Amino acid sequence: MGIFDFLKKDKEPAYDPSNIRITDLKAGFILDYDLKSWQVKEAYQYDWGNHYFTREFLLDSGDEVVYLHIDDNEELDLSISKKIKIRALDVDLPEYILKHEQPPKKIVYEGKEYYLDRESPGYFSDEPDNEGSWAELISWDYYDKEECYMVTVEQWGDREFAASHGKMVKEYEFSNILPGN
Amino acid sequence: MSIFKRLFKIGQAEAHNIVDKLEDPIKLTEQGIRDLKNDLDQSLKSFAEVKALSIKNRKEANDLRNQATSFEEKAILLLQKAENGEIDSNEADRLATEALAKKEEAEQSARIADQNATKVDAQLTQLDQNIKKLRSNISHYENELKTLKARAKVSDATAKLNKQMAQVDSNGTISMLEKMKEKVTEKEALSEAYADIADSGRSVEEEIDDVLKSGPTPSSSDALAKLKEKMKSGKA
Repeated sequence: MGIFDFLKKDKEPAYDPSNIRITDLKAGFILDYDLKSWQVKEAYQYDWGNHYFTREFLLDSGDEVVYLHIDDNEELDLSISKKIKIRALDVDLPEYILKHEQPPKKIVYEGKEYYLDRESPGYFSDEPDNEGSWAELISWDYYDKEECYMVTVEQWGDREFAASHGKMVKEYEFSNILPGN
Repeated sequence: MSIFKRLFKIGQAEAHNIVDKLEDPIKLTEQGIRDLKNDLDQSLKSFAEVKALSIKNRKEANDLRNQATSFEEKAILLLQKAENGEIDSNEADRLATEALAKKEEAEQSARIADQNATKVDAQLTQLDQNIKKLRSNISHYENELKTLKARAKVSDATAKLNKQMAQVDSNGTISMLEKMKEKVTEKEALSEAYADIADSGRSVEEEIDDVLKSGPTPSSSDALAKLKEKMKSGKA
């Protein structure tokens, strides 16, 4: 070992390379989930106020794209979801929300009932590492009776709506998390 | 050996001695583990790059298959339009053939992308083995470090205790205690001697005075006279 070898060393990573956790995830990382390898294509951040932040990642397996939502404020809550058409939930849902200023208490999607759990106004950023611009949104989260599956309805601006359908997942379902450059 | 060589050797020996003293086995092991983790991080990043290539190949294959399906659908649509008389059948056949050729081309490219992905996956297995070895090394040295820290703690505590034990001069303490005992005995003897000197130094007048002073008190001389009378009367 040379005496000045330390000068050549790279900066140490923020995570432990021998134990990379799902909470260490960043854009460019690779992970295994559901018998497939996924690349983290994009990272997003939500600010729900009172210093309550959650993160979301766009995962691409090559033949499928999903969103991984991470809430590690109290206990670690993870969910995997896919975007769906807002009118797949109810053809009149956007109009219903505009009229009542909130969606219905119950939604039926693919024959399953989902119940409104909470309404969360917040801000969204697609540049979590920079002080980028934040977009305002309102999110309504619905869960089934067992709270295993979920539907999320979002309102962006005055008349723009988005929806997603997903399920709650556990940390152990993810493996081989690899750092990206 | 020349004088300069000898001087250099002395300097070398001294420098090594200083460095040896500076070397803390725990700190150096911790640094070693940090270095290993950095190596692991670099390996994981290379592994991730190869995996990303595999995902990219699969995505490409998937896109090409979708493209092939799309060309086939277009060919069908062209033939349907020709059947409905919306376009000339010869033109429709020509375009449909072109579309089917494109479909075949896309399928061929998809197969190549799949093969590439499979080749990359094979490379991943080899890389995975190396990473497992590195992980195992790190885990081994982390456990070693725990043992090393525990041993160093025990050794420090033992050294401290031994040092304290070595510093205790039991002979000195005992001799000091004996000396104190002797000192007390000497003091007692001195006090007795003073008392004797005090007794022997009195004058005759002082002795008489003492006798007179210690003479019977009026009440006790009355009691004596009564006793003497009682004895006389007893004799008579």
